Order: sequence, then structure tokens, then C-alpha cells
Amino acid sequence: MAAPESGDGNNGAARMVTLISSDNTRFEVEAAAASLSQTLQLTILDGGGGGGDGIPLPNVDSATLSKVLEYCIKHAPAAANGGAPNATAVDRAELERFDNEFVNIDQSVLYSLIMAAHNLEIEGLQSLVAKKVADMIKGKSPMEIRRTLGFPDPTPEEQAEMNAHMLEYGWAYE
Amino acid sequence: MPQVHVYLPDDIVTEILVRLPGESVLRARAVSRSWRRITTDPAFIVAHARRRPLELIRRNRVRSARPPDRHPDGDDIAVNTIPVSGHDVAGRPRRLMRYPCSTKRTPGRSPHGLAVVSCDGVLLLKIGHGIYLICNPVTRQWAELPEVHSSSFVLEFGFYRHQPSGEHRLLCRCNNVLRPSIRSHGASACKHRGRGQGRRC
Repeated sequence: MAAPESGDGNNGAARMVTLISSDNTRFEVEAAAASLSQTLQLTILDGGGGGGDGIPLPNVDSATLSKVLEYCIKHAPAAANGGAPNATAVDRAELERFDNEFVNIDQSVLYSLIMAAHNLEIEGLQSLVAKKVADMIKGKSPMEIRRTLGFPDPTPEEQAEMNAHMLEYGWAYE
Repeated sequence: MPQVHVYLPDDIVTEILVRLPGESVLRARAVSRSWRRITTDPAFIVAHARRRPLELIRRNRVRSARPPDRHPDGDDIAVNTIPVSGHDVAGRPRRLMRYPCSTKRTPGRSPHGLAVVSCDGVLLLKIGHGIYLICNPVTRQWAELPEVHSSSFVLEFGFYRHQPSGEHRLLCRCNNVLRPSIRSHGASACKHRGRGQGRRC
């Protein structure tokens, strides 16, 4: 686990908090990383999550939470620098490489991630996953989009509406 | 690989769709009714407009396809956008709309050029004296506002979205008459010329 030295905890040791997933797995993580979540930040600032207490997250399962925390830990140092004016190009390139690889995952995991990022209000993660899904949609026909995202087959009415739309906006399908 | 459809709440779908380019937003409208509802919401149009790359708007004349005897000054008016900072298709203009010349109303060779204001991602274009068009640059839908009397002096005060009706309205004063006049066509009922159906911008 990455351990930035800039922690404001006691004796240089970063303050840790415990998060508890919906299936009761406990994750111990630096407060700085967990604070990327706007929702958790308030609780943490209030002194919550330390010791044996832990913060329960009833909407996030352990597989998703560990993925979310992987993102937070990686991004915490840059976020601590406040958008990092002193971040080097190498650091930024490394984060970008991490991000690209991070979302190169199964679609169902992507969905769980974006839901978790939304609930926990982790802005960076939310836009990262949203962009990934948008890229999956871009350039596809409505029918291909439905298939890509696993929508059920359209009803005859929906199909008719789809055809009418495509006829009307032919230029968007060129 | 078979996919399991997971229900995503509107907020999240919005987050995703707002990141699409204009053409893809339009295709997304055909995907499902809920996607159509999301992408035609004024708040969505505003959010999408904020993310659009910078574009120049340019007006030029295009030779009308109509027989020249219909109108002596018969050029159509075309409005194009040209990306300024585009990394997508550098410099390639995109046709926003084409306003056909008509015997009834023509922008003529007026000195007005093209005046543009925008409100919530919807553009108001003044392409000639008393001729105002509203246009959604994402969907390229456009509509003409009812004529402001062509012989009159027109002073525009404001272009805004009228919340109760969802219409976009132009507030203007004609011929120094103190009572302001409101012109609206309703962005929610944008029409292409020559076709009668109303539709949302």
C-alpha cells in the first residue's frame, strides 16, 4: 500500500480508518485516501472510522470496494497536493497509465464501480468510468448501443420509434 | 459474451451521455425512451453545451436550388461551425443549418451579418433585419421566430428560457413602442421549415 509521508497523523504515521463493505469485510486504509470520497470525508473529519468502529458501507460489496480503494490510494497523493501544481509530467503520465488500465475491466465491474463512485461521491472515479462507458457507446448505432449495454431486445413500438428517429436524423448516422 | 443489463439511475446515465459528442447524443436519443427523456432535458442540454469544444459560427451564402426567377436576390443562408481547438477533426466545418431564401422573407444583402447569443445551450441567430432563428447546435434543429415587422426598428432586450412553458423567448421592442413584445417559438417545439411536426430541441 502506498504510504505518502505527508500524512498529518501522529509521529509521521498516517491516520488510518476502517471501512466495512456490505458483506462485512473490513478494509483499513489511510484517511487521506478514503477522503477522496466526499461522503466519507465528512465522517472522517468528524473523527469517525478510527479504532475498532469502522464506517459501514451497506451499498458497496467487498470486490467493488477493494477496486475503489485501489483507485483512491493511487490518486490520494496527487489530490493531497491540491491538483498538484508541482506534479511532474512523469507522475501525471503514470496516473494516466494507471487510469487507462484501471477501467480495462469487465462491464459488470464497471457498472458496480460507477454506482459506488456515485454513492461515495468520488468525482475523479465517477468521470473516469463515465468516460469509459461513453467511449464504448461512441460511434455505435442505437441497436449496437443496446446490445453493448445489455438492454433487452426492443419491443415493436420501441423498434418503430428507433427507426423513425434514424430516418429523421440520417446525418447523425453517416 | 452475453451481457446482464444492470439498471443505471438517471444521474449516472446523464454523467455518461453528457460526455458524448453531438452526433452520438442524437443517436442516444433513439436508444430508449428514458435516454430520450434524459437527453432532451434542458439541464442536460446546458451541461452538454458547457463541455462542447470552442467553435466559430460562420454565416455564408449558398446558391439556392430554386429557379432564379423566384427571387432576384435568391441565395440561401448557411450557418456553419468551425472547430477552433478541435483535436477531433481539425478545421472541418459542420453545417448547422440552411435557411432557404423565399419570396416572402429574405435576409437580403443586409449589413446585419450574423448576431448570436446563447441561452442554456440554445442559440439565437439574427440572420437579417427582423429575422431571428433559434437553433440547438447539438441536434441542428432550428426554428424561425414569428416575424418582427420588417419595416420597424427593433431593439432586443433579452433571450431567455420561459420556465413554465419551456419555450425560448426573445424580448424586444419595435418602433419605439414602449410595450415590449415577446417572440417565442418554443425550443420545446422546434420545427424544421417545411415540415409541420413539433419536436423538442
